[in-house]
Amino acid sequence: MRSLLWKDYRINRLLLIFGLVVCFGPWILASVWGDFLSVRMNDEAPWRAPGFWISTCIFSLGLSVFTLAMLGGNAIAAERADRSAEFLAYLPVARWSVIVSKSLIAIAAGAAIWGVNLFILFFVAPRFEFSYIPDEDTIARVRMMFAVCAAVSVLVFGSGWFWSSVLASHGLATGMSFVVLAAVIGVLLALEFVCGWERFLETWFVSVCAVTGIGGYFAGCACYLHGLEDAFKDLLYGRKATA
Amino acid sequence: MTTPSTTYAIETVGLSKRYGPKDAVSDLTLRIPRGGAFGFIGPNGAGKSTTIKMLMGLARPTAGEARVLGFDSVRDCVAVKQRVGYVPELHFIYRWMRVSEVIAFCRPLYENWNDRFCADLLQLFELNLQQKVKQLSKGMVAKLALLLAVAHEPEVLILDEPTSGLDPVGREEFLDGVMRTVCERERTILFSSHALSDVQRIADTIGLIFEGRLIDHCRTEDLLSATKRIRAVLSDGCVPGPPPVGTIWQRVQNREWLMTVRGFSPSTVEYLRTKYSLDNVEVIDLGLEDVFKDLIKGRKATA
Repeated sequence: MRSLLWKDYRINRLLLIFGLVVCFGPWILASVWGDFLSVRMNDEAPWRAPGFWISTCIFSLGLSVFTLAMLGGNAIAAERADRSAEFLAYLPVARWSVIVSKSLIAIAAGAAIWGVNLFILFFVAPRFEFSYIPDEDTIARVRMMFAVCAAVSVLVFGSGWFWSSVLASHGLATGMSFVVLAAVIGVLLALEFVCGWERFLETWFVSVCAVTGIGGYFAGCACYLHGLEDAFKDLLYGRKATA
Repeated sequence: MTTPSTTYAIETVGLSKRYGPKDAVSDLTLRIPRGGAFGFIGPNGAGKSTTIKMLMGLARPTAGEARVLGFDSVRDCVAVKQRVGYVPELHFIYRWMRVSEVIAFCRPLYENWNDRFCADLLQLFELNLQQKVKQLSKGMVAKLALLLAVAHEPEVLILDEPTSGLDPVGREEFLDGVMRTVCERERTILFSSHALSDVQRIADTIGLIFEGRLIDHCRTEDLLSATKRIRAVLSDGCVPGPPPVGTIWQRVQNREWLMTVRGFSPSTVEYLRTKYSLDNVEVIDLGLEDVFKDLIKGRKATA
């Protein structure tokens, strides 16, 4: 398992660096910009405002959606694209251990991004003296934004993972994860407007994204474990399915 | 996991693989005893690679079963891969890895990896540990693939057109490597190749597959000693009657009658002399390549 983990880390190394930049980048930029504002404009130190921490955190988590989509889309398709999956196939490695290794790398990266942001928000930020305390409505809105970020992350990762298990292009698999996101929004909006169900998107978006993402992840695992990519390829390209 | 007892290293029973309407492999029954060197030959698209993929557990059979060292290739594919060294036609070893990294990656995956043997092979193949796979020549990648296939001391070595695309020097070095690494230890080899001189050099038995069916399976020596080409000159130039029993291919051009006979004996010439008016009869020894070509041409003519 260690050598599989090492290999998956190396395959995703650039992506993990991108994730790191996207995770810390907004914090670094916000600190520099905040410092600039407070010195030049003799303004109040921005870190005394809870909004500074919340908006930077949500911005960082929002950007990490791209990292997670790419991690999902890259997972299986990257090795299929350069055909190194064929080399892996004739090594004595069980398919489930390949899946576990890829999942560990992707889930660890996602957990690290969220962990860092939540650590800063809940452990670093409270060390500064806030100039005001946000009201209940603001806290509820912030909670909702975190839930949306988490749900979209799960959706793009899970659907990227599924498409990665059946396609041979990691770029296409990543792109498809955003198509699924657009489809979920489109379907919910259509139901809201056509059926006249009020606030349908707002009420169900998080749950539908989470269920679709988790479903996509398990469907992708099942496809990979049962080697269904060939059957899918036949279906996709209109050939008769492999008997 | 203990090795199930079996006298055959490789055994397939009624093995079939269907891609849509096409039978890639059809009802293939094949038995290769332990320690044998089996040459698997056939034209392009005959089903050699599909059969090998099914043996390695890389493709699921439509019907029948494939067993390697007694292990079912589908159910126990990890156990099969532990005991089999496989060199495919095209090598897709991670191109971004260095040679040392490829070895470090594969080493823990095998239960019987032999570091000493691996070091010997590195020296023999003159592989540079620091070089990246993408920087290696085609021949060097083939050698690396052979190293990875044999360093865990497999009981069975499966080579699927391993020398395809290599220049003559690279091919020679690769085959030398195979001979040197394999002959030292008693291993079963399944060698599939279009380079029939290579097959003839390594294999003691031959299996000929055509359109997914095994049409011949015998000892290489027996095949070559019992298959001869007869060149007869017809005195009258008339189209001759039925050829001798065992004729796999024949051609009549002007007065020259060429035929390749399987199961040749001196009585074959006697038969021709008594039945037809011939000016001259010549018996020509054939190499594996000629026998193969005539078998295939004969099959195509009958089809």
